[in-house]
Amino acid sequence: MSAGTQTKTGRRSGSYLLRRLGQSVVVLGIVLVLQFTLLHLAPGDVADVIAGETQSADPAFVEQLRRDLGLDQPLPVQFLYYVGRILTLDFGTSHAFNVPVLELIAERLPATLLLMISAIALAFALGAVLGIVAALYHGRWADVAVSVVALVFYATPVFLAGIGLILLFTVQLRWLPMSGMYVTWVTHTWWSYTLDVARHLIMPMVSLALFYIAIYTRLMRAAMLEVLGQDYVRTARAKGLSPARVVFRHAARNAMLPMVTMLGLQVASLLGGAVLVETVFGWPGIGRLAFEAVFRRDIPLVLGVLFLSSVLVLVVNLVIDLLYTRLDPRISLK
Amino acid sequence: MSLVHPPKLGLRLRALALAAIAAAGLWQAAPAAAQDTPVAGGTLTIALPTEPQHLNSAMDTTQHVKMVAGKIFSGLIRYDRDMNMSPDLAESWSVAEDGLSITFNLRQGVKWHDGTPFTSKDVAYSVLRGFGQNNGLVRAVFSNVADVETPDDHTAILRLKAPTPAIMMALPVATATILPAHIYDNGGNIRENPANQAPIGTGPFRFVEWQRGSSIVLERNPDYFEDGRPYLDRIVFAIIPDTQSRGAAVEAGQIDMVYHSTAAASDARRLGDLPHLELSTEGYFFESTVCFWEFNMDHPILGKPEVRRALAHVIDKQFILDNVWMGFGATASSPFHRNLAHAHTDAVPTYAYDPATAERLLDEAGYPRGSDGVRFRMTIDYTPFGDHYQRMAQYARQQLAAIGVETDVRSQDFASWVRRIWTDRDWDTNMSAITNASDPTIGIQRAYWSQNIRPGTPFTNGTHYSNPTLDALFEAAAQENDAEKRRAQFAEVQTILATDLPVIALVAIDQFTVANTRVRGYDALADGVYSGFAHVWLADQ
Repeated sequence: MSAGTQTKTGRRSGSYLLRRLGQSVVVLGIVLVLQFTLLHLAPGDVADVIAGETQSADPAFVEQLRRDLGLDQPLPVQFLYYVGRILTLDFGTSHAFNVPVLELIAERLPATLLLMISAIALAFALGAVLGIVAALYHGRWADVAVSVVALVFYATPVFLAGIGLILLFTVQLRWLPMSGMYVTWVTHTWWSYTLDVARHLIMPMVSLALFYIAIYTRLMRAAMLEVLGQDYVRTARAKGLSPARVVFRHAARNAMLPMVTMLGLQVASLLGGAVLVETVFGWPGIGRLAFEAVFRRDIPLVLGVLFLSSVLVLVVNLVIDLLYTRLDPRISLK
Repeated sequence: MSLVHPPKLGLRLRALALAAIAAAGLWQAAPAAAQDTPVAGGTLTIALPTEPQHLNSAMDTTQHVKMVAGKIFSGLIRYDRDMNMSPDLAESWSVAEDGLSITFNLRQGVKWHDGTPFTSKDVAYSVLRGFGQNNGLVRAVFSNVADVETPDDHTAILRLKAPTPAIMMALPVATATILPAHIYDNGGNIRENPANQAPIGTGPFRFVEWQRGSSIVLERNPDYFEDGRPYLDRIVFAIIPDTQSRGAAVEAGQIDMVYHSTAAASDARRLGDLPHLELSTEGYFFESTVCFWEFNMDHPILGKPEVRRALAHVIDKQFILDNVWMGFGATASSPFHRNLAHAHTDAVPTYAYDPATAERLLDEAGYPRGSDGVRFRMTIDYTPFGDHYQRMAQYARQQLAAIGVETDVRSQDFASWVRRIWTDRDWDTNMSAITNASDPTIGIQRAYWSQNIRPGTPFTNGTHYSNPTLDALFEAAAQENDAEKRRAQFAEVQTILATDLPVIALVAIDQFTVANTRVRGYDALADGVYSGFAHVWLADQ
């Protein structure tokens, strides 16, 4: 590649980035309006929940709660107030916890990121390997075995897989801890902390990954079958390259493209699956935080989590679009 | 199969008796078998089903809040399982002859966890502006306190507007959490005080840290006011949101205790039979709850008592007890829980399970089957706490279909349900429950007293039932200092409720705890697992 084309590509991707960022801001604005409206369509507010949970039968108490929380203001006023604060990155204070929303999210986000990234990495790697194996042994017993396993993974609900793992590895074998992210009540060294987190991570990670392993396996298998039939693969074989080199360097790399596309699409659904896994394993992540907040009608907290999740999904998709050009130089950014 | 008590009763009773003796401070006098002498040390791990939002039980008595806060704070008085009172922060107390003042002599030399001395100012603040204003459940009772006098640092005198016997039933740590005035009495909003997240109490355990989403850790308060207590070094609350996971955790020995029926009821007896676990239904006096099927009195058909009496014959309460509550409880004939021994009676009208009678009574009431076999249609809502109420609704639907009443069971989340019943009033019948608390004046009156028809406020009189005779009885009992007269007034209340049937009481629920057998004394007090745990210890195993 000459120096000239490099600058050209650089300039082009620069303006592309700017345009994509502009679009993202518009999308975020729409998401914000939708979230705010939808959440307020649900009957009941946090004052109902607090008064209900404490079985309070005192109208003055409920009124006082609403006044304290600013729920007595008209909705448009509440919305404008909220948008105004978000522009200064102030997400407000959680109604239920009475702690700044950003602080709550910052405490819980790393746990979810760790869970999501490790699960998707596992699914991606294992899915690719199984997919390649199935494609290479197309129609034979290995292919059938992989397909059956993938089907079972695909059909198993996340929470059921979680409970099954717990019954086997915690209750029966007593190998793995079943709840939380690490043992909080002992003093950890850096090393023991890492080990402890890893032990706690295994079961949640596997439960969350199962479904995606199935998807990536099927995807990789289909892509590999297609690529393996291409002329250039036949050419590579014909010129006497080793089978391993043909499979990994020529075929697999090209079959990766649909896998990467899927990765971007699945970040959002992965966040949904994380809610279930975090609940079953008591994983202190953001999914569970948001889920509970919805039932409590803790609107500032839900909005904060949804907003930051939207940002996360947009950023990941942007990064993946940029990644395409690396994986396949024929793709250009427009 | 209404086996309420778990097997191993003999052993357990002995352990309980010993724990009760320990709790009463009479330990030295007891013949000490090596195995049953409290030993100091150890970490107790308890599964919290839901993360608390804060740890201030003066403004929120949600179960998981008071579970943790009860160990950090103190109340004025403790109650054993027969509601005999013993000192907590109040060393002694007396109610004036006219019932218009209550004097508390407070323990001396008690210090808050930050070293500040505890005084009568803390009590005055807590009663007048702490729980007295912010605890939704007992606020109404304490609104009768006109003032709290503090003649010296160790005396607090409550001056009452009217005699309020229920106050003496509402002074354990969970309902009367004494807050530190030097931290809260600063003119700020109690809900915004940072100490709600890292509380300073006078209780047996000090707050150490809160890993949000994971755990809350408390440690032994070395300066606790009872010598030698608490026994435990540390209490860890592990937040485990999933029901099956909680059961698995206690079975695997990773935690010591699952409380307040938060393991699956269908699994509880199996867990209790395991050699290292036990099942207990004791220590939930303040949680005494009766579940019922309630009716909207504004409904043109269901507003008629003869219709409700007919419907009462369609419900087999024993079936619900056995199959929905898995035998944890007893069938109920009025919304008074049998735990409330000072008020409960069984001598009320009952309605035998007999669908044929129900059909005949509905015919007589003027609702015969139509040409399509249907008498009338209605909806059943249910409270979305666990799946018990949903199952009760499904059972009722099936029973009603058989006698020609078509129903529609509706689901919604908690906030929507609260809105529907108390604000929008868009409902016909409802499967629900409310806690009796420790006294009918606190827990029961609110649901049937016509003055408490207050649309928009949860757990007020949502049926809109109104009966002047009943109102007068409740009002008289609220101020009656004579225990026997009060009992008679409540007996009459129960007869009226069982005759008019604004609600059909179904089951007086027993809550259960599944605990490791090494944990001793956790259910010795009336507030059981919600008590301070100063007397709880771990046996070597």
